[in-house]
Amino acid sequence: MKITLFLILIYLGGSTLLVAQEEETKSRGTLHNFRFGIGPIAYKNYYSIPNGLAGGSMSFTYQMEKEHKTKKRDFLLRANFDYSYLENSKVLTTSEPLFRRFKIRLGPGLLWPLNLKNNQLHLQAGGNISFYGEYIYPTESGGKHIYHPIPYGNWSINCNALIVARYQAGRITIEESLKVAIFTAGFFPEFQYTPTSIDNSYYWDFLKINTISTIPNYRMIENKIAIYFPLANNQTAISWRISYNHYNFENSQKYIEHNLGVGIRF
Amino acid sequence: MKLSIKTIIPIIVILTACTDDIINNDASPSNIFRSFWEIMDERYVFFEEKGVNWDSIYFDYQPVFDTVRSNSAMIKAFDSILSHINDKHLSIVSNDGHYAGMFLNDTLHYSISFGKVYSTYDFSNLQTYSHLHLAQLPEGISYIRILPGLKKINVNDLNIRQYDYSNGLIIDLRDCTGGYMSGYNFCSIFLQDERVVFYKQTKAGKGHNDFSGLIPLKIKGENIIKKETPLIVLINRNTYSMGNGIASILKENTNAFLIGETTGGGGGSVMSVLLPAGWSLTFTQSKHYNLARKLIENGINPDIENIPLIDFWKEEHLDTGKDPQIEIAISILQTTK
Repeated sequence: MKITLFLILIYLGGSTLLVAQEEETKSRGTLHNFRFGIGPIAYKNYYSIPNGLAGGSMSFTYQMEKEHKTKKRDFLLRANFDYSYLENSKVLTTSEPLFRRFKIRLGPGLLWPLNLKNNQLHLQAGGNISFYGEYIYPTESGGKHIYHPIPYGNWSINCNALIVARYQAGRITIEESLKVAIFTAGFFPEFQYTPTSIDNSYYWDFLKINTISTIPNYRMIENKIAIYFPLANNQTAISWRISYNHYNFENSQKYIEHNLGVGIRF
Repeated sequence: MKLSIKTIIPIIVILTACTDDIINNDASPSNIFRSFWEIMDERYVFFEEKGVNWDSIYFDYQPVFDTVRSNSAMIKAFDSILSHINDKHLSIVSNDGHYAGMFLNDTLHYSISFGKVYSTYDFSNLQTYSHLHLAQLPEGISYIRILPGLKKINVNDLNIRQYDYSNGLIIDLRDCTGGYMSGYNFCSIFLQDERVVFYKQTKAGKGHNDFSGLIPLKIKGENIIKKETPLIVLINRNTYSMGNGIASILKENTNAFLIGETTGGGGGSVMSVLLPAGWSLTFTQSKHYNLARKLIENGINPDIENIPLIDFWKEEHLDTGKDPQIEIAISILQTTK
């Protein structure tokens, strides 16, 4: 809760700056962003963690942004890797994580400028296509506490709508981005998903697309606000990212991640 | 801009509030029971075979869990519920490690002292692998014992070719109380080709009778033991789950002769999930059928039944190492050479 309040304060602080500063935007060229973040997560899936678990996560993100001056659009390339642990403070026989979770997102996108007739506020809209994959598996401690825990995972290719608002306030840039999955196709475990078998042939089944869905049946929302300020010859960033996912096919999954990060842009 | 802040902040509050929707934090006994009941209601596979009226379980036991206060009282109530279902795969473990279930109460009435058996019957060249023992007996008879907890093994790593099994092999599944489905891969040493060895059936929906079709599961034979090799499989009541499955596969796919007692059953695979407050539930999530498409939940019958009294195992066996079932196996293999 304290972390949430702290993050809200950062958010409000950033938003205040947003309306206080004035300066013309310069051409952005090609930018490389590296970001590292940590934060809490709440996660559940119907199959292996039906009552949900809390935990922490850390993420590493690289994003390249390339401005195409003549076509007036930005090309994005993003790779994001998250590691999470899930624990249960109510389990008296262990204080170690019961599950670990890996998440990867990877893909290109395009953004076009929207004309607001405002020199300080720049709005871009576009979309990206991303490969999304996650895998949740029991730890050794989980295997000791839970007799036969089962791993769970899914992967998909998502078409996302993307909106980016960028406000140039002197030497500080405030950037708000919102990404929403519109269409998804991939492998999502079906009700009878049983990842234990005596032959390996079923692994091929996991590679096949078995589900195609659109919003609202598949909800994947990511919101990030970042404040960029110059440090040495680069731009340094503090950002807060919220990721939310909920799908309800034969098995369901729901999670929310808060992630406070620092990064560098050059 | 102020308008956008007003829009964004409620979204943040809503997203933060979602945490409570994700994690079931209610640690009350009635909530733990409710979660147990719901998960079982939607995902347990043997309601019909066990003749359980699951709705009446809810109405009978919800008032009990509304009043219990201690973990021990809850374990006692769960024990009572599980005794109605009579499935030894089912268990509940409290957040402080206490157990409710039929397995410990019903399966392990006794256990065999294998160390004494090994010395009494002149076992030699004993090699111990993870959850598997390999040994030489006199007169060209070899011995393989599967221990509980067997996972997938690389059968080519077993030095079985170093052993003399010219007169036969004894595969001891007694007291093999279970393991992993991947442990079935052990059977590949007796098979010459890839073949379907059994079928599984899983839930396909939340209704009690929502099942998938029968899904064939295959094992690729490694052709290590020739099919003419005489095989004796020893089984007892403690042969359960994976042990039960291996007994079924060997009975149907090889010339194995089963000696001992009807196995304890356990024809399905299990998984475990956390209930609220750190409790956990283990339940059967799929049914296993033999090649004749019959459930193996109620056990595999031996070809030659030999049932020593439990007192024999607890007294004379422990004193002398005497093992009448292995004596029959040795005797048969000696006479068929």
